Amino acid sequence: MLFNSLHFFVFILIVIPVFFLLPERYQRYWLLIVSFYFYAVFKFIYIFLLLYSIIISYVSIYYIDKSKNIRIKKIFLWIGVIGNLLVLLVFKYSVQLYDILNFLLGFEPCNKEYIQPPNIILPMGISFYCLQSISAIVDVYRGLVEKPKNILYYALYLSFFPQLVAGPILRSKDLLKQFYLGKKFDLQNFRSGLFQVCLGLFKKTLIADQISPYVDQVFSAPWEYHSISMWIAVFLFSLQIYGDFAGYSDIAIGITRIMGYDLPQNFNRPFFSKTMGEFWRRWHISFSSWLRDYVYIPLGGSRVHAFRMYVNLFLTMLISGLWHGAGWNYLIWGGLHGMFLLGERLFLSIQFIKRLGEKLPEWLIAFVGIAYTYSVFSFTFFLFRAKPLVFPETNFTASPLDVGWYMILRALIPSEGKIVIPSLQYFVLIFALFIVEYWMEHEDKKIYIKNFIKSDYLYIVAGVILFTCLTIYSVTVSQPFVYFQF
Amino acid sequence: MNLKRFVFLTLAFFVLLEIFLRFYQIEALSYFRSLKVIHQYNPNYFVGLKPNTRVYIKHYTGKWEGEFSINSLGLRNLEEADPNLKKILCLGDSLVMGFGVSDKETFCYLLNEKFKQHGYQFLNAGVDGLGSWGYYQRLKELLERVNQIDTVLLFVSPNDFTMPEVFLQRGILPDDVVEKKRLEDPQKKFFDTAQFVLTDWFYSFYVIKLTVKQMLLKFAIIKAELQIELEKTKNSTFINYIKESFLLPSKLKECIPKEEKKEIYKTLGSSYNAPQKILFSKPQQCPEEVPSSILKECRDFPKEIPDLPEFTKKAYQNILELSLKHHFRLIVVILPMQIEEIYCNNINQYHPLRMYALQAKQYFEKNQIEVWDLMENTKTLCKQNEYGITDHFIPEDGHLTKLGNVWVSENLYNYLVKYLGDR
Repeated sequence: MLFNSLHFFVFILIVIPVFFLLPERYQRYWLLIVSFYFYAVFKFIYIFLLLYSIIISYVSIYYIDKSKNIRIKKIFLWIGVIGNLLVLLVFKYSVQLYDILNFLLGFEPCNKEYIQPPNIILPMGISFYCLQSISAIVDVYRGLVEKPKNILYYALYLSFFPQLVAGPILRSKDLLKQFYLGKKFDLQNFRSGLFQVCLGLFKKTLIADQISPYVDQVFSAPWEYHSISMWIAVFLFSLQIYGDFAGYSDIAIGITRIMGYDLPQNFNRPFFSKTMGEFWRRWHISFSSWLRDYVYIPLGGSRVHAFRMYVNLFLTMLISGLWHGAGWNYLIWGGLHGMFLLGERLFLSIQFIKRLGEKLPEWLIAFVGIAYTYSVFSFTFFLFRAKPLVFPETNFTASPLDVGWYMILRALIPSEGKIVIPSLQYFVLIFALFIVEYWMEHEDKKIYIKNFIKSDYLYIVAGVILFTCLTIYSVTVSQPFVYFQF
Repeated sequence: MNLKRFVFLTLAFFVLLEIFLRFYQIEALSYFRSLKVIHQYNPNYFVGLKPNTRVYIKHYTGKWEGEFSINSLGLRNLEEADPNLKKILCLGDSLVMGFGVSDKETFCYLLNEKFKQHGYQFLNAGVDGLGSWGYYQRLKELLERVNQIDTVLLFVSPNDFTMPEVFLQRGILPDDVVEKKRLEDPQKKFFDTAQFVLTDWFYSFYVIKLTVKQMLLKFAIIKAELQIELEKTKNSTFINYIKESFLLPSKLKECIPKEEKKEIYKTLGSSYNAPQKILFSKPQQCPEEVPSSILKECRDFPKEIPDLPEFTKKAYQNILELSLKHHFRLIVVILPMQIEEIYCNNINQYHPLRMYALQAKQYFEKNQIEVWDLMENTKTLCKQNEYGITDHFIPEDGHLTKLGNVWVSENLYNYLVKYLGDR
């Protein structure tokens, strides 16, 4: 079920009151039931995949914990990790695996022998809960956390509905123990959770969904648009994807806070970043830190020779790209980010630049840094957002990579065509959002937000946002979250 | 929370909501709002078109868009009644009014263009949501305000007095039933009127009403969809169900020669005026094959046709009396409006959704009123490799598309030439 749907509105109006009315020892069972229901609504059959991941991971964790023999521990570690990766390989990467197989065998689509890949549905959320499972298994293996008390707790940790299909990717140390204790209704949690939920809905429904038609029209027929429109589309898409994804995380965090649980933040106002390195520490934090702990560090991290460190960083970004989508365009997108991260580190390590940085006024560095980060981030979306298209007067479907490359060229070579101009009111709302974020970013301004949450104005504004969203969902078909496809 | 605080919060909520909605023109809501502002309360037939209005309506998913203008008499199109010309009225509901097309694309307008030079002016008296009683009231009103009404074409609509079962389950009633309730229950009339006026004044009230209505509708739809999914699991083996759930029809990877790939860069640097997208279904054969889901519902024509509901009969009777009193010719027109009945008709069979037409036809023929049944010409709704039946109707909406309006105007033209020529 989508967060931005009527169904979810009704769902949450039942789930939360019942949660608090139940005796504390039954609360976790209730959450488990409703989480499975939440997932089953997408498609009932998906539940079996979730169950598979729960069982294989729990069994691995159980034996890793129980066994004293390091070799047996290792065997179960690999069983758990590969068991989860297998789900991703089959459901997410099978087409690419067939591509590689065909390439190795030297078969082209024009050959008779070419092996056609099957068209498998990508079930919602597998990219998220498989990573979550892997982290739980590895953490027990590393001795960082204890084994869950029983499989039900583990099942709840993995299937907990607010974060099931699009994260944040939680660590067992952050969440698991919270389930052991019952929760009581707390007005302060309610107010602060309500604020976060409304902020999320605002980002998703009132910003991202309203911008998306402008982006979609350019990406669905780029040849009709002016070079400037290419740039407008990618710059808008960065805002759209931020509204979409950070909005989802906010709703998830807000709902869990209302219920008394605490989730770590997943986005830390990334558009205030001054470098791409900083950006990745603020954007989709749960995923970046997952990559750091389970890919970058095992590869050797920063404790190796500088050259090797750069290679590790680049490899990690390639994996990040592949995680975002099973396509060559995503791989190159990850590679581009890797290159910018490397280039940036090298550039900033130059003595002259360091000295210059100390001399220049802070506001100028902030301005240049933010503009640079936003531009780079947006530019890479030519490859990220591109979808297969049939170009006019051709009768074949161009791949996302071809489309992305075409759009980059069209953006750089002055080209005639239509110009996209979104209405002014969207910018007013985006501006309002950034004011709120600016306040949240600065310690001395945070008080405005705190006072607002404590006041009755919260209820008025929340009422307007919730009601407007409810209306939009009731008259339209809910726009799925972009990150659901990953 | 004390009462004072509660009242303050509620009032503040409404004020802020009103300001926000008016400032932030959310596309989907703007569409519904623009449909609202073209209407006004009418004491006789409840909802009429607001005179001297001109708006551009754009459906939020791009299903249709166009100019919607209303003249001083509350008739679609800005053209005013010409006192020197004989008038032919197109009387009906949304399908006559031209819901889903621009002013100049409605069939009534197209006919007007064709017959003006012959001394006839076609006036579009259609208003969406009217039923038989509404037609009578609307006609009565226009007879007082427009001179030289020579002929009235009455377009009977499928939802005037009947409604498919699936919609009845969703709480949608035929127009005549709603109107009858309003007439019999002054309290309902009062509330309906108050709600209409308040939602006209306040955007926020309108949005609340819209939300409640749509929510009820959505839940009815979800219930029906769940039933279908359950049926699916019942009728399929477990293995098949899993296969259907995870495997989509295989998409074959295209073979693209490398040199052809370069073709996509041809449009670089230029402004490419893409040819108008042809969205027609391009059927390979005419008449089109009947979809299996519809075929199983096609049957022989019923031997007995039930009488019209009393309320509808009374409305029709009143229209007949008006025609005698004001000396205009009444002609009843039945349009093909539901694809199910068209498919069945093409194989000379009957679909239960056609019952309304048979009932109306039986009634008017008994009263010696001429009935033009355009269902007789449905085979021309298909042209091989160009367009098919579904291209004449807006998907999931059912109103006539531009092509549909052209089809109606062309078919009516033939009837009209004969009719006017005979006189």
